[in-house]
Amino acid sequence: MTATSPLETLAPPERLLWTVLRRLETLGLEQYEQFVPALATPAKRSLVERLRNEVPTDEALTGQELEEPVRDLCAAALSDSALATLCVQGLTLERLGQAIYSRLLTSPGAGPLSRHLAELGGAAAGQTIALALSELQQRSSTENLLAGYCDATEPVLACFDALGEAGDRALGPHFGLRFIDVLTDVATELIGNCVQLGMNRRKLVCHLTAAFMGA
Amino acid sequence: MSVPEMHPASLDLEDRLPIRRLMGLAVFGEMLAARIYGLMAQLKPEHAPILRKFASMEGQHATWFREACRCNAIEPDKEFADHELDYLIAQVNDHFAAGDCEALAVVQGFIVESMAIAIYEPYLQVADRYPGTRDVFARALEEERYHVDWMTRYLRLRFFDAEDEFIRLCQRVNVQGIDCIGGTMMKIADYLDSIGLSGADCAGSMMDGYSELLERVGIPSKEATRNVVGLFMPLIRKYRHGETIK
Repeated sequence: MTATSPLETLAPPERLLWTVLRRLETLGLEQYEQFVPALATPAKRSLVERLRNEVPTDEALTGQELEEPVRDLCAAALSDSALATLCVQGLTLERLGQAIYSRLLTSPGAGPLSRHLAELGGAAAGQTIALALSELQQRSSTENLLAGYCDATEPVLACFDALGEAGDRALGPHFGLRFIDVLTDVATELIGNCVQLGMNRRKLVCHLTAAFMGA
Repeated sequence: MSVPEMHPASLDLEDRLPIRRLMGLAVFGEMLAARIYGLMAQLKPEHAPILRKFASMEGQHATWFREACRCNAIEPDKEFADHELDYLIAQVNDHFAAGDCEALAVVQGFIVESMAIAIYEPYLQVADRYPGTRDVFARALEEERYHVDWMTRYLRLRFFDAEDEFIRLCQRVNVQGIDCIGGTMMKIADYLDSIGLSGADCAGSMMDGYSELLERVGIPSKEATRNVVGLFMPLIRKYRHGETIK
């Protein structure tokens, strides 16, 4: 697979999915560059560049049901500090991406190009998450990570439901994916990571539950 | 434990439906818990004395709660409770008919008790709105924790060096058990909100509490979390979208 694979090798649902992921990965990279440059890794830069080549425009997304939820999520994910960026992008949205990439690797609806991109995305996410955990670990003695995490991620998690509903309708049948399964992966990994960082598990689970319930 | 005679606060000031339904679930749920421990005693004669004691304690909770309701002019909503508990009763009957005490232990000792603890504990913060309920809920909470501790030890010994067997048991019991009891938790979330608790926090506490119990018996943390979260996710989604939960 080369960096110049033709766009036509992606089926329409794949183009839609990769357009969404390109938007999210690009936003993540921009946030890292602004607030936590160490997380703007070569692998992440390379991934974003590759996605910009494969799906250079928002054409596949424009006018689709997913457009608004994606726009809302991107707006909610605009952080204003290093800590918020680490929590929102470095932990939460990287986990979301990683969960999607992981499931794409075995999805019957993912063609060779999608699987290749998913491999790149998964590897880049893994590196970034490890770095984010390391950065957050260093802050754990001086900052209230649980409070910071809850404050920063509340508006982002609140966007997941609409994203999932639209995503299931637009992409679920093609890829054989359900957003609640992706979300289960994300929550499971997040809980493990946050406990590792010393956050109170009960409070974190309640935060996630409240966000997912829309409470 | 006697419940002091006091006049209920704000008797005319609020819709009593939420508290009637919550207390209905508490009263009739405790009565069902007494029955389940009684069934377990039949299946495990070697543990019958303590299981009958647990049954008696659960029955006592029901009596305390009913008396506390009387003092606050709350009529426990039996119809609602029956509707919620029917599905659980069917599961319990199936497990008993199969002679499966371990399944009953997971359903009652872990899932149902996790729900009770997740609600009784925060309820103490608002209990004074309903005079006479603080002491009985505090005592019931303490005793439910005792039951859970005993059940945890029982299951750890039963599945010592047999974690895979325990995982299979949980996988078998959890799908129905969480769908039923977790579903009830979702259905009462708004009622909990309306009496000053957080339904979401209660649900989160139940999920975390149950995951923790599975870990204590030997299921790896991530696996326990994934299993419990994965079973709650569809319920949470239904709650969020106002769909029929069960």
